[in-house]
Amino acid sequence: MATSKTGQLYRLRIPIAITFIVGIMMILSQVIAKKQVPVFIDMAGRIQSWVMVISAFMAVATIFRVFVTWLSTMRERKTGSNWQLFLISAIGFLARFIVGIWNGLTGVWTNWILSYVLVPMETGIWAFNGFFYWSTAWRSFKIRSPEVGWLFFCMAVQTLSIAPVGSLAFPWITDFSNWLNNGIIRGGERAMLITTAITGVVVGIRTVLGMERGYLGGITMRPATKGTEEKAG
Amino acid sequence: MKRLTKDTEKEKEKLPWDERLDRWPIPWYTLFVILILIPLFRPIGLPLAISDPTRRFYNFIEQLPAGSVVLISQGVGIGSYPELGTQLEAIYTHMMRRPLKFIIYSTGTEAWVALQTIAFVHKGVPESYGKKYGVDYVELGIVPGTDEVIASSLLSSFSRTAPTDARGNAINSLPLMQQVQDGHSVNLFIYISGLPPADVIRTVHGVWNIPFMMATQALEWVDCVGFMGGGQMVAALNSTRGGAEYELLLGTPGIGLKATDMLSLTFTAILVLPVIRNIVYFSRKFRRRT
Repeated sequence: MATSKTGQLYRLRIPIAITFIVGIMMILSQVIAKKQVPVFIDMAGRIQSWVMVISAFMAVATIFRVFVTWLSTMRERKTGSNWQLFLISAIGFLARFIVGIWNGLTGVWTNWILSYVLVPMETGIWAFNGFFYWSTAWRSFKIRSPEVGWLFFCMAVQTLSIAPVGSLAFPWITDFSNWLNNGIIRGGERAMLITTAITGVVVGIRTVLGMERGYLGGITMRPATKGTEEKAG
Repeated sequence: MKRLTKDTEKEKEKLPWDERLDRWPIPWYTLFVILILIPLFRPIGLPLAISDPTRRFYNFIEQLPAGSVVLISQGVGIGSYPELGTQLEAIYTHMMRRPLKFIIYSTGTEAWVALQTIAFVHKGVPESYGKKYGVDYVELGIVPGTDEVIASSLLSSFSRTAPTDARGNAINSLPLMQQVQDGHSVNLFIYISGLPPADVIRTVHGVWNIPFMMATQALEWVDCVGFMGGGQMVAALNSTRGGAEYELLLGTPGIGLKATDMLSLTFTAILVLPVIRNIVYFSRKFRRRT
């Protein structure tokens, strides 16, 4: 999506400049925090408060947007759109919303909805899940490759370590499961965490420097010319 | 509709029996229900070895001096009820037995319902154990926010985070809360949740240096093993089994021990099913080759 010069200024350069200033401010507040520079610490605190306010606004906006989508689906009543389900969702949403506002978080009616509507429904959904897990054990564990074999072996060890029958049949299973958890699984998990953290730092630096522009919605740098488009992000 | 059923029946007949079960798993579902029902009517009572983490959990609470303050964050949801519900019940029983003071809060609306039904209805309100509200225990009700933020905020200041308790009393009007203003007066933090413990540990153990124990689902057990090895977590209960072991230690067999029989039967079947499936799969593959 190419934009004009004014468009570039408002939709590209100013957001990048704000990102750069805010990003640098947050980095400095963390780096110089030990030296107690009040300006940076104060600014970082303010920015965090803004983020909280904007998040709350976003939550309300998202709920409003979802509700509007439901309403438009109901109005169109297209075949196969399951508009009846949206109608039920909208009624449920409104009922919960009104009761919540009027009756508070722990009021009698809020509790009634929780105990007699939400809890039984969720119990039903989780019970269905149990059946799905069960049939998945039959469907998914065809050992077609060594990787699946290894996965099955780990699943068997973990399952047997939890069920009493496991430690009864194989007394070593709990120790082995702990070794597996603490050594191999935990090690792998830590490696993944470190990788994610490094990736986060790199993406953060790129975003602050304006090299990562996915959040701008794919706006191009220059007006598009025939055949050449410099895509953002 | 009639035609569709006919076609489906034809399609069904063409498939080998194991693949037919892939698409129409009703026999497996029936077997699943039967395996769950058997221990309900006829408990098998397989012996249960008590694991080290559960014993450490029990011993730590047992060794706390009288009057110690325990802060309990409980997030038992409907989905996690089979695993965490048994643990909450057992921990609650232990808290009632010991002369300890405790402050309990729920991290969500479902958790609050769970606390009322699992602990207060099944096991009786604390008053029936001689505990006095406001002096021996306080229920903060639902504290909104993510678990780590709630823990961090409460430990910084109870009265600013939750100005009123679940019954609408001002926090500062309760004698227990006048003693316990922040994390400095808390002697133990028990985290009952199916969420990863890392962020909460960072605040509770890292910032406040309060002993941290967790009752968790099997999915998060790997995390707990790591933190126990590192010394950030004193002990942890592992899913339904942990709850059942705790019941054994307390000498009060309950729903956890009943559930372990179901675990044994269904988990064994979950392991046997793929084995049968693979035998069929490989024998068919071998037959095709030859």
